[in-house]
Amino acid sequence: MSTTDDRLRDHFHRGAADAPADEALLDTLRAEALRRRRRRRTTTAGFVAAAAVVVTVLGLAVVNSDGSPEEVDVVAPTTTTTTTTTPTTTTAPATRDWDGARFDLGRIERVHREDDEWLVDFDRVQLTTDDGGLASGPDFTEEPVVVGNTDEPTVNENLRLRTYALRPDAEALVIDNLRDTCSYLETWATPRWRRITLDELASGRELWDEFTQVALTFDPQGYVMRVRLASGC
Amino acid sequence: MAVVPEDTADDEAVVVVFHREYPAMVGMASLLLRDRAAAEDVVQEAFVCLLLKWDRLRDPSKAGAYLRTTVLNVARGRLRRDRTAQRKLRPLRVVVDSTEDAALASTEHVRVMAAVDGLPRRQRECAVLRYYLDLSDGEIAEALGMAIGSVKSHLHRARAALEAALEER
Repeated sequence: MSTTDDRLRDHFHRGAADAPADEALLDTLRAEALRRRRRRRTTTAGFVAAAAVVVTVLGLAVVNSDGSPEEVDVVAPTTTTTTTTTPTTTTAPATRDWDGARFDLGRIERVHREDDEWLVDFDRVQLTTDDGGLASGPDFTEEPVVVGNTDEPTVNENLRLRTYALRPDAEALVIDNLRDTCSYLETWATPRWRRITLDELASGRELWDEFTQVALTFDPQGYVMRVRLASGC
Repeated sequence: MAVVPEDTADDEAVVVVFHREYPAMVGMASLLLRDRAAAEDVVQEAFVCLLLKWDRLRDPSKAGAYLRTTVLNVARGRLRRDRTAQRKLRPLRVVVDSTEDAALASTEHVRVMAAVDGLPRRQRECAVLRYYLDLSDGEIAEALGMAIGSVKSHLHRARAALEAALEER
């Protein structure tokens, strides 16, 4: 006599599609990955030109951190079009890879010091909007804090890593009651934010794991003034 | 900036992960999307993402977990963008060993799969990860980015709904 769980397992396995792992398919997927990577490389010049247009409009002096060509995915045209809608943030030279956005949402890859300055290597993600579109850094008009039960997952359509500089007095905030905010109960707890030091942020690798959705807030000079570590569920 | 090296395509680890994960991921996605072709699209997209990010995985042994999460995310996006998905449910594939039991088994299977389709998204995801992939509560929590307590709650509700489908006559 099978148990309920065994019977359910049987039904799930019978209901799932069979799909063998075909070597030829893997070759196709590898080729697609290569094609996308090369597309990023070949579009570098185009992106730099587009960025220059924005610089002209905004009166900015954009300087890449190392002066080398950047990899930029062509699927991120909103970077250039929407930045122009946030002119209030653009009166000072750009800092590191800051593109003029007031906010950014993504994942932290590394927090480190360089020349007495805290830097964060940041992987921007896109937030799915109600209409099925995607919003990313320059699109946000308010702090994009992803917390609690949400039907708006993020996707990562761009491999580019951005390096931002943190203000020495930047706020780093974590949620003390994360479990409660992710409860399936009808009443979700309000996040209780706790400030941590930048040293704690840098050393607390577990604070920004793969699933931590990080909202950054920039000051008008392009320095990160707030790092909010959140997590939707 | 980290760039996937050209020779990543030859990385044996990729081949191992592909053979180990691809069939299961398509199976999982097909249960979530109820559309085999869409499931294959989603999983293939997730694999391309994995290949592009391969050298940036902090722990390559977690490629399977990364893949699961990516497939779930891409599948959700696909469902969201395709509001008509529910109208495109494919006929259920029913496999039975005995023609004598075929009608009964088919009926029960159809009921259970219909109940799966009717579950709220998170319950459905938890149920698929548990009953198809046999993941633990902790592994499901990691894949879905939610607390273990929430996983238990979703699973409890999902199991109750599916059990009712099993018991229907």
